[in-house]
Amino acid sequence: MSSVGREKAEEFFRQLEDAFSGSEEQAQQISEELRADFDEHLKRFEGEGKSEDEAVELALAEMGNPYELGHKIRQEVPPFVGRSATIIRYLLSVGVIAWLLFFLWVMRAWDYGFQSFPYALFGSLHLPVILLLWPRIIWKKNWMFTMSIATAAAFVLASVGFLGKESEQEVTYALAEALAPALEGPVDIKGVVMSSDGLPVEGARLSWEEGPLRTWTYSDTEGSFELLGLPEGEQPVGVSCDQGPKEWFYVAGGEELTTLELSLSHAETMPDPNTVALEAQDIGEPNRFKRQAYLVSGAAGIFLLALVFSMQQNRQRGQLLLACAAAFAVIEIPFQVEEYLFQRDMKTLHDFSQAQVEAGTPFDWEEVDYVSLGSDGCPEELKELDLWNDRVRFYSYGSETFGAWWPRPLSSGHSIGYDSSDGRTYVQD
Amino acid sequence: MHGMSSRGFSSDLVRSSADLVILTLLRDRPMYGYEILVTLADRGNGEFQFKQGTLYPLLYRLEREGWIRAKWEEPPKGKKRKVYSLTSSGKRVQVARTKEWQRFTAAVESILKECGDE
Repeated sequence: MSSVGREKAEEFFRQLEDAFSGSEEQAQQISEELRADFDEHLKRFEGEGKSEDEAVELALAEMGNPYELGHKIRQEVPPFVGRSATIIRYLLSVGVIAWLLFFLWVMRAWDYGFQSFPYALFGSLHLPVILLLWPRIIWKKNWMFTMSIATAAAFVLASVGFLGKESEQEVTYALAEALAPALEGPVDIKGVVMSSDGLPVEGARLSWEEGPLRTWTYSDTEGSFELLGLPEGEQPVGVSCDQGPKEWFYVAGGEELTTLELSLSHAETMPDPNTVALEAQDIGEPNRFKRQAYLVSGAAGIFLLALVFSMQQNRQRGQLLLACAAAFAVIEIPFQVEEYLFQRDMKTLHDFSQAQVEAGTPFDWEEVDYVSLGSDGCPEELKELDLWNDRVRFYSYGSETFGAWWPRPLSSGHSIGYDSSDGRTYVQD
Repeated sequence: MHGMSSRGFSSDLVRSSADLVILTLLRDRPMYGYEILVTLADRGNGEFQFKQGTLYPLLYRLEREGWIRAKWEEPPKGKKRKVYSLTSSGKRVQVARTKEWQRFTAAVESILKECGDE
């Protein structure tokens, strides 16, 4: 090729690269591809007997206007897809994914039981960023437009997450109470528990205790109760309802029915409508939740589907859903297993505690100052228990209730706590 | 039509069939850009004479859609070329578009025939 021809060709490709205005690497690749075409045109025209300069002119004419060509290609080629840009994008994507997994792991350790809220909120915030960074995601229509909407949707979700009133509903876990021990005293106390407004109180707990002896019962639907086998003389009977303090009555047993009138109105003796008591086998539900968690979770589900269907390739849609499911499973399954084992340990401790109370010899383990069950200072009776996590710290105040802390094996900074006096399960960091 | 020499065809007609034409060519075998231009002209009875300004934006769009993939290949003799081939998704699109096109042309032909008879 003559120097004039070469200059014209170089000028063409320079103008093409200017008009393309993408990364240097991309511009070089496009230029290289088109140079090969230019050479083919040149060869064809020279083969047809054209002079070198004529062939160059004709070949350039075949290639068209370089500005127009570069501009058209720029509209179709997504930015940052060169080799080095791709490597950086992969590294950044992996970094964001690792950060998200770590963050969700820590968030999960703060909760007891599955909560959709952190997954929905933080997943929705990070997913658009990951998809934007991850190379070769093929979007339908205009990828920039799609991502703008996706990012805006993620921020709306985040905003919703911090709005709204926190629900006052609490869920407690009422473990089945130990059977009241049978006493052998000569006196029975029978009677009715009434509210201050003269209505029978159902479900009031009546308890008596003297030294190591203790017994208890509950009033029935008529408010009636029986405390059997008590010693002679006036006996202190404590009456407590779900709400309100324990009230004390000194009662001498006998044939006559005793009426115990509480200072609480009937409405005040009823269980708190915001408290839901669950049976022991239901342990594992979160003890607090927010209403907006449901809203965020639902919106996040729709958002994920919108993201999935905004992707062009079926394969990528499937991969995205699979990746989301895998990330969820990687975090949730270990915690579910851990909490299942925790429940098993709690049941073991509960059965043990109940057996001790039934035998009328509840220990006062407060003395050992929350000693880990696997440690030397632990009472032998506790050491013999078959517990999965022997780092659990158990304590009791010499009554039928107990508490325990389980250091979370999956997160060294958190412990699961349980207090059988109110059935609360909580996480402490 | 600018950049797309299709002689007697309107630009709208050529644009609406361009995807199908390229996908059908690549269904036979992988090709590089210049090869596609030449083959189009040959098999299209000289009616399809695309220029680079039409072909490459089209190829990059099809690649972005995931219907074709590009790979640099260096033959033992000759220059390194970027070769385009059909993806499985592209094959499905090609089959669907072909059926659609056949239904469309049959319908148009039917109308033309009916009206021509009158």
